[in-house]
Amino acid sequence: MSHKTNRRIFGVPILLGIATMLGLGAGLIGDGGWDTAAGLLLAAPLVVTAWYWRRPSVSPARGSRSQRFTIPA
Amino acid sequence: MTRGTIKAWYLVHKWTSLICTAFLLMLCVTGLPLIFHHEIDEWLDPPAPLAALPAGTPPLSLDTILARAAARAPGNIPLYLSFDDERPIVYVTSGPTPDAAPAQMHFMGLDARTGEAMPPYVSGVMDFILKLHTDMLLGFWAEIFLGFMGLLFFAAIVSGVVLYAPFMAKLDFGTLRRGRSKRLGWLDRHNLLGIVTLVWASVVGVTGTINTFVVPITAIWKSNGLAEIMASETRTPLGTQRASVQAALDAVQRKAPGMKPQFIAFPGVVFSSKHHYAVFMQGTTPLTSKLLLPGFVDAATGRLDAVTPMPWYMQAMLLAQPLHFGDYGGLAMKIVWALFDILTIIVLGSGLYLWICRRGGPSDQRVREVVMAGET
Repeated sequence: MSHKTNRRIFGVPILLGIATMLGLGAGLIGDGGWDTAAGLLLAAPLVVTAWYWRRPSVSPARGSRSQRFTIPA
Repeated sequence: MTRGTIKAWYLVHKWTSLICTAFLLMLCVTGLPLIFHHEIDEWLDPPAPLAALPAGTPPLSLDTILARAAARAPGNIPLYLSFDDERPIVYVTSGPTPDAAPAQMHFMGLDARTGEAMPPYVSGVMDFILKLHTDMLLGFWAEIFLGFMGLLFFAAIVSGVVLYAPFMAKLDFGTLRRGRSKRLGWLDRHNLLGIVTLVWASVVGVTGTINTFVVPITAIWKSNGLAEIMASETRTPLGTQRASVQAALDAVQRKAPGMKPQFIAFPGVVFSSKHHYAVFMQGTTPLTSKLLLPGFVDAATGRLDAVTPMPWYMQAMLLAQPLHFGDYGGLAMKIVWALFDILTIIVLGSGLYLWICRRGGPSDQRVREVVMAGET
């Protein structure tokens, strides 16, 4: 793998940061629909985190998908 | 980025984090139940029912309410009067002098329509947690100290973001290298959680710091804008005969149509001059309800001196409050706030773990860890 540009490194974090900021702002603007939008926007970084946290290891060296699931709990 | 630059940022990250982590952990742990302050209070101590009166029963004059309150707290003078958001209740805070310490103050709620006192407010476990969260029970300077810890936390976040770039140069977003060392696993988790909580943690950290500076910021406002209003007219000394508070509210309300009163500050307290009733009006939308418009009425003569918006730094201070508490977007937002808070605790904890379980050797070893991430 070669060095990545800053844009690739910070692409996802910036999108999640914008979602967080829009969520924080939407809640201030109004109630009802605005609050729902705020909740959804703020939940976006949490959902993305949960997905990566639970994802089986993708490390190319070790811990491939099949290997991980054969490890007894 | 050269290795020297990375090392400098690493040292900033290490020291700012090490100094503030213990306090930030305390703030996050006490902050978690405080997110649900309102819900827990209602559950532990359900609000007393109000007398059933026909809908549209008019409220009593505030002067009558204040007389009833004075009879219940003899020897005290009124300091603040505030209005309940949802129910027809007026709260009166009184004390022996305008500069009385909060512990000497007396707080009571009265039915705005009958003037009957509500059951006395009992300070509960949530108030204790709030006090712990605000100043660790150590008073004003401890609060300012926690404000500075908030600034260090922000510096730790910024330096962490800078280090994220070389660290992720060869890793895809969200990579958690499992099946390697335990330390490496937590380093990856620390980076992932740190970068996704970045904006939330910055906003809550910085607004928390702003909240600790309420007294000094308000003092600046008093010595500038308020002093100007104070000097605008000649003043007769304040005797025991005071102008009507209800008339003061009415006068301000006429100048602020479409707004409702949030609280009234009496002469001499933090939010007023020595000579005025300061009537703070709020808008009725979620945003405008946070930005207050004060009107100043001479407490001796009852003359309306000014209704002027507060300067930008006061507005910013007021807007910082909801953004810190997360109490402005319903239950969904509170749950999100709690989850972000828990993730921040994990970021702080894993950061501490990474430092305690560091391999021996100079800090260049840790810089190497950042640079070499993803290689081999």
